Amino acid sequence: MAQKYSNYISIKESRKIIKYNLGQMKHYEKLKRQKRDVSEYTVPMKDENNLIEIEDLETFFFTDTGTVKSVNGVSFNIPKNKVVGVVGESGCGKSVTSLSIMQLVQSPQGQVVGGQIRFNASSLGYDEEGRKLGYDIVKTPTQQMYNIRGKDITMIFQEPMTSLNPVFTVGYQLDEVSYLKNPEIKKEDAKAYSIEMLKKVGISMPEHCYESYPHELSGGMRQRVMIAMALAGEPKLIIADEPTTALDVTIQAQILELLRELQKQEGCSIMLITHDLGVIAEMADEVVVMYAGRVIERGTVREIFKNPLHPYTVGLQKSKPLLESDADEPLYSIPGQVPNPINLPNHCYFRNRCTKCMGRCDGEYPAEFKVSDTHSVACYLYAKE
Amino acid sequence: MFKYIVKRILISIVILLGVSIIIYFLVRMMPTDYIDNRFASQLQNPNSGINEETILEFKKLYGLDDNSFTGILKGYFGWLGNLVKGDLGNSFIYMKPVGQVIAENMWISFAIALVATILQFLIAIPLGITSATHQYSVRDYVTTVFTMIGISLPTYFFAYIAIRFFSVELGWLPTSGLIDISKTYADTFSGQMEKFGDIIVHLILPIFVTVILSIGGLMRYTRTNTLEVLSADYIRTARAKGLSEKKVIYKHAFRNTLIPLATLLAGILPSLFGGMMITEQVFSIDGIGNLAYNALRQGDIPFVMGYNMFLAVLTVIGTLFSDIMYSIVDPRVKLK
Repeated sequence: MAQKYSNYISIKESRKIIKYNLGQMKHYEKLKRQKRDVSEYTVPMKDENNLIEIEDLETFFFTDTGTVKSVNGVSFNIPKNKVVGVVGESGCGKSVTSLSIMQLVQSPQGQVVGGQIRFNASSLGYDEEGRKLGYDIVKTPTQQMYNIRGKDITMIFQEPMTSLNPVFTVGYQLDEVSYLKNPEIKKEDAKAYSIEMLKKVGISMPEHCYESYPHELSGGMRQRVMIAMALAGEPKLIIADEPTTALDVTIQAQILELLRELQKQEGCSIMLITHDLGVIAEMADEVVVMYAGRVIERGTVREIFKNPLHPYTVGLQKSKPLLESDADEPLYSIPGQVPNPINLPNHCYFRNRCTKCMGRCDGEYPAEFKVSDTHSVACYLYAKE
Repeated sequence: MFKYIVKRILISIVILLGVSIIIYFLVRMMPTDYIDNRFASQLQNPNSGINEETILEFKKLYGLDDNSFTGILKGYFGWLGNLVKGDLGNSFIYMKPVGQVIAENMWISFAIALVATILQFLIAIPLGITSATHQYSVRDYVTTVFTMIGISLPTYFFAYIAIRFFSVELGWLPTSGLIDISKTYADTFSGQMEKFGDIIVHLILPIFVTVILSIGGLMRYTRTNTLEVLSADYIRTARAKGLSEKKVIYKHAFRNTLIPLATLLAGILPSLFGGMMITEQVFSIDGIGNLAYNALRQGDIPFVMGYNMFLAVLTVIGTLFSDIMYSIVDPRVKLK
């Protein structure tokens, strides 16, 4: 019975949740608006070669049915000039992690409640001990974020169809980036720069495209415009949130090729979020595998694909269709379902779906065990002792 | 574009014909007519010289005698024939050509409606936007509750409460009418200015009532649209670009919020010129709404027809206007 009605909430409980949520939301919204001294949100980087260091990031959504821990203690780094792929199924917290980096989580329901996101900004110098300083984005006030968004970190979204404002021309939306960078820029200069960007992303008639409205362009073109917009700010990090999911396969390949090329050319990092392992294999240098709001395995692309360790990663690889596989054999799928993100118990979230589950798995959530310098996994199978 | 407008005007003529038929038949089928109303009391009095026969004669004179289907049809075509000649007929109760009555009394209604509409938009749209951007905040709940009260109150009820409070209890504002009857105004410039000022003071309460009762709908409409637009992907893009929250809301979101608001423009023309029956009635303002109300009660067929056709024409033009507005605010809409 208790199991069956686990989703049921009594009025009393519901009231309690709403009251709690209001309190929490108010608290975090207030923190965001607070005026802070620069020293309060600058922290030394652990490694100067990292562009982003995420440590124990916690992003929660305060919903009417309870607190959803979308991102629950995620840690990984994005080194300079590298492509980091983040994989995982829908709802595992990939996108929320990326939105947390931009401080764009749907507020007031969604709030970053803990952890650090250290961003290695070139505008910041070194501290007395000679460590490179970076912004802690979790504590950075919104006013300061305006200077980071669109300039240091830009984003490409999943849905090119709806990601461009339908009532403004492509040119207007591109020019905006130039005006943000330099409010005194001349109109012709902004236009010339925007057209140059459109050329860079391989649009054949940039002048025509500049004058067009988004609905007059195809999906692939729109995604190119989005990429142009992301590049226009000369970012150090481009977050690509499933940039090819809504596109057909041939365009997908072109867009990925373009991203890869531009990344080399511009010397920026890319955080590539996708659920497509093929895309990761092709693009990424390092891979982070996420499940139910936590990082379960991370390593270089070679390590993850040649030597997947976590049973979930292994399952993911097995569920990839292969051309040479036996056609009669149905495609493998991981049994079971992702656990309800509300009130997650303190044990491995994959336990109920795992084929290699053992006695120890009933214990608390496994810590990350290092297998090599670059490869780590959160599973008791690889515990040292 | 031009072709589209011509096509729409031609279609409108057909629509207006249909509207006129329905209204004419409805008015003729009302249980009592003008003559019955007019002579009901005299009929009771045997000394007045009015009897069934004279009434029938009057009815014949006014064209109201034959209430069969063919009779009504004949009456309708008579009305239509005059209309083609540009004649809306003479109003029974106002004893003047209908067109003239409308033209004379339209402007006071228009003045009230214009000021009320402008105020309504100026108050409701910013309110809607702020309560959307501060969804579920105290501000949101307070505005929602007050505007909901505004929507729910009937005009006559709220108008009398306002009169009771502001005019009777506090004595700040006059209860009704347009000018102070006890005063006479000199025919000089200053005298006319005084009269004008007096009219304005008299109009405060009707405008106040109209605005309070109408902001609710528009405010909720704006709030819903803004909420929808704010959750759109392109708003996230605009934020990711580094635009400030102000720019995101008032530039990127607002232009998109305007698109559904263009629909409301269709209803604006008739409400601007058509007068407000109940408000004008309560405040005894001789606007076109009040005239129409009296005409309808007394079965003044030419006036009711003329008034309703006037509204129908305004509605048709309003719809056309809002369709054209759509193509202006939304680049995706092309008129063909």
